Order: sequence, then structure tokens, then C-alpha cells
Amino acid sequence: MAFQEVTKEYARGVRALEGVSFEVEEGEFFCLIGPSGCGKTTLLKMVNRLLEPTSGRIFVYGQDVQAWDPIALRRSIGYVIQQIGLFPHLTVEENMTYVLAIMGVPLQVRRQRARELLGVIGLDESYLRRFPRELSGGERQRVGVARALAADPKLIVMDEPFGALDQITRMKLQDELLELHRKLKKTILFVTHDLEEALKLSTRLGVMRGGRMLGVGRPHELLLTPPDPFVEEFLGRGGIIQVLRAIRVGDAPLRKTQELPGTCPSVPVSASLEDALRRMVLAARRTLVVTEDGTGRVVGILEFEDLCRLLHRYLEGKLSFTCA
Amino acid sequence: MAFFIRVLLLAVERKSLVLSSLREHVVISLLACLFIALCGVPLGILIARFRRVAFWVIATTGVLYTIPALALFGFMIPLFGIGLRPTLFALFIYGLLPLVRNTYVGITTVDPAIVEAAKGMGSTDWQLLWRVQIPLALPVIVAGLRTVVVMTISYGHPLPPSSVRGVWGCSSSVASPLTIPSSSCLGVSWSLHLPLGLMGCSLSLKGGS
Repeated sequence: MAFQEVTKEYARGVRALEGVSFEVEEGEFFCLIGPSGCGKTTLLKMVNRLLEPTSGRIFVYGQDVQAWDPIALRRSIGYVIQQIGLFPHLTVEENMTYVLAIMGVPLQVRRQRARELLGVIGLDESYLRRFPRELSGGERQRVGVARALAADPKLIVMDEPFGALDQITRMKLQDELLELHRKLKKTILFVTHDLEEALKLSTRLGVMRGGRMLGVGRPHELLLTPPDPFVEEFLGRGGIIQVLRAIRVGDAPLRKTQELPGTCPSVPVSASLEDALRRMVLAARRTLVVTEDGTGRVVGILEFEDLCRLLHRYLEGKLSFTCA
Repeated sequence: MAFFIRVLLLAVERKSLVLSSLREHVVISLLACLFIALCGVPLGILIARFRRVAFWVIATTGVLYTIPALALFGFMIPLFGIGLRPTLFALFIYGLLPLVRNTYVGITTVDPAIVEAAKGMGSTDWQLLWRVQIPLALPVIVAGLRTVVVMTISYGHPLPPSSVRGVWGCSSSVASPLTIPSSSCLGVSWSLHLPLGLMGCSLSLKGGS
């Protein structure tokens, strides 16, 4: 998916977007973040052509969206919105398979798919016959996500899907979504104004303000080498815990595996440095073995001193940061 | 008490007339409701789609609704004469407003988030209408229809000028024999309307969602 110089102008010369360009690679979890009214939702709605750009081009699946039939385009993109927008007159089953129904998929197949989807979002089959009003906020949003997955789209766009949930439910759903992303390998374009959420979820993020894209990069890149004063200010609010949380173990300077001093606690590469630090503290050790997700293969060693050095550099304002 | 007994006796005495009038009244009310539903709902859907004309269409049905019944007959007797056609036409005109307006309001007040979700998932306009907007607007549309049914039953009475013979509906059974004392006549007329009106009311209260 790519955006090229996308501009959106409303009547009376109000500019919602000014020359926004960026790309999202396949399999990425890309967060668009910025204060309200910065144009991130506008940008998102252009992906499935609910809005049309005034100028510029948008490519989805390598093809200009203008060349797509809007209906076919929308059916090939999963769409989740903040208000969830479940159909109150349809059961959970019918809600989840709505896209399939309008595509004319036979009922038997839809039934089957609904059961699979419930498994994916971790709800049991008793939910099939329920109506949205009988669900809690978190369950509704899960169904909303399942609905977006129904037609097995490669790309899913989400507009602040967890904005209306309480903190605990939101964190839980974020974890589940990360897990889903890892398992299903979908490309996700995620709009949020919650910095913590963006840093936690995204593989890359784009910071927007006033209709402009100020910086695009991986969380630790943006944190450690902010391309714009606003990005620095916006991202720098959380202090060092935020930095630790935003950087994954795999992105930190790791040491080559040597002789291990006895048994070391381990940490997966995808975990955050905050998590790594927690494990160090809990085990009262200065060294962690870093392992690959799934296989458990040892990749390297993370030393407490390296963590400190990294934070030191951040606090000193040294803007150069390279992965060892 | 004596009054009610006289009413009852009158009704029994003219049983066949009362029954045939009752039948006519039911038929004419149902016919009118049918026409109103067939035109009103599609019209409401259309103006929900083309909102620019919505104001004018609803205003027009509103103006039609304000025409006094008697005045309307002044217009229609030269045009249609008397009988079934003008009665149906008048009922149609009066019944249009509640149904068109309710249909329009029902469809346009469906939660925009739901409409956006349906659109964003790739519904065609037709699918959006049939699968989302109409089902969600149905309670409001049906409420309009119930109003129309009650209104149509009650309006069946004053429409045909009572001094004209050959008009349709319950009023004719009262009006045709001019020799009968008028208070009793009205009593019969009302006692005929009452059960119909109650039927209409019970329809409109049932499942009043």
C-alpha cells in the first residue's frame, strides 16, 4: 500500500491533508498517530474510497485505487471503526459474515466461517445467536474485528478501534490483536491518538499533524532520532519507561553468544525492553538470553549495561542510534 | 341509557344496511391503506436518497393534509363525482403524510456509524438499503403505517357529505334515511366506528416498538 502526495481539500480551501506520502509494506502493522483533526482518519477512509483525494494517488495491493471498482476494493479490505458499527438487527453470526453474505457466499460456507472466526477471537459458539446489545464493549469490538477478517482480506484498516474501551479491556484487546497479527500475517493500517497504543502495537508508525506527515519510522527510530521537533515533543512525553516499552529486544544492541554463566533467564526477541528489564529485576540478574519467538533458538545476549547505555544516549539527546 | 337502547334498536332494525355499510367501510379503509403503503413507503425511501427534494415532498404532503375534508369534497365532486373513487383519493391524500415522513425519518436516522460500516465493507446501495437501512427503520415505518390505519378508519366517516346518497362507508347508513332523528343516527355511526377504531388502536399498540 502506498500514498503519493495525497492532498484533500474541502470547500472554502480548508486543507485536511497536504502532500502526504508514505508506504506500508506487506505484513506490517502500521500506526498512524497524531492529535485529533490531523487528517489520519481522512487518510484511512481514502484507502477504501469512502473519501476521494483532491490530488495524489493511493495504491492498494499495488494498484491505483482509482482503477478499482469501489465495491470490490472495499470487500477486499477489512474495515473496523471506533463506534464498531455492528448491525443491531443481526446476530453475531450474521454480523461476522456480512461481507460474505453481500458477496453471495452460500449459507453453509458462511456458517462454517462464523465458527472459525469465533475461534480466532476466542469466543465460544453460544455467541453465534446473540445480538450485539447482549455483548459487552470488549466482546463487541472482538466481533467487529472478526467481521473485518471474514473475507480473509490481506489488508485491514482500523480507525481507533479501541478508543471507547476501558483501560483493562483495551490492553487485553491490544495483546490479542498483536497475537492475531503475528499468527495471520495481515497488513494492518491502524489509526490512533494514543501514543502508548501506537508504540506497543506498531512495527512502524507515522506521526501526523495538521494534515502533514511529520515522520515515518520504527518506534525506536522515531523515539531516538526524531525527524521533527513536534515528533520529539509528541513522543518524548513518556520518559524512559516509554522508550523501553517502545523498543523491542531484537532492536537493541545484543552481544554475541558466549559461554553462558550458568542458567540465564531468557526473553523473546519480540518482547519490549521494559519486559526484559522486568525479567532482569525479577531474576536479580544482569544478563538475559535472547531467544527467537517460537523456535526458542538463542540469538544473543542482552546486558543490563547495554540497556543503561542506550537510555543514557537517549537522555543525552544523542540522536544517532544504530543497532549493534 | 334510553338513548343507547334506541341506538341499539335502530341498528338492529336496519341490520342489513348496517352490515353492508360496515363491510364497505372495512373494504374502503383497507384499500386506502394499501394504496398509501404502496406509494408512501417507496416515496419516503426515494426522498431519503435524494434529500434535496425531501423538504418539498414532505411540505407538499403536509399541505395536502391541511385541506379541510369538506373543502376537499368541494374540489373532488366535480372531478370524480361521488362514490368509491373520490373517497379513496381523499383518504389517500390524508394518509400520505405520516407514512412518507416516518419512512424518511426512519431511514435518515439510522446510526451513521452503522451505515458507514456497511458501506466500508462493500455493500452496494441496494444492499445497504435492503439489508441495513430498511430493517433498522422498520419500527418507525410500521409506526407510521399504524397511524395511517387508525386515521383512515376514522376519516372514512366525515368524508362523504352525509346528504348525498350513494356515498360509501358507514356514514351512508346513517345519512340516507333523513327521517331518523339525528342524534340516534350519529350514535349508530359512532357505534360502528368504535369497534373498527379499537381494532386500529390495538394494531397500533401491539408490539409498540
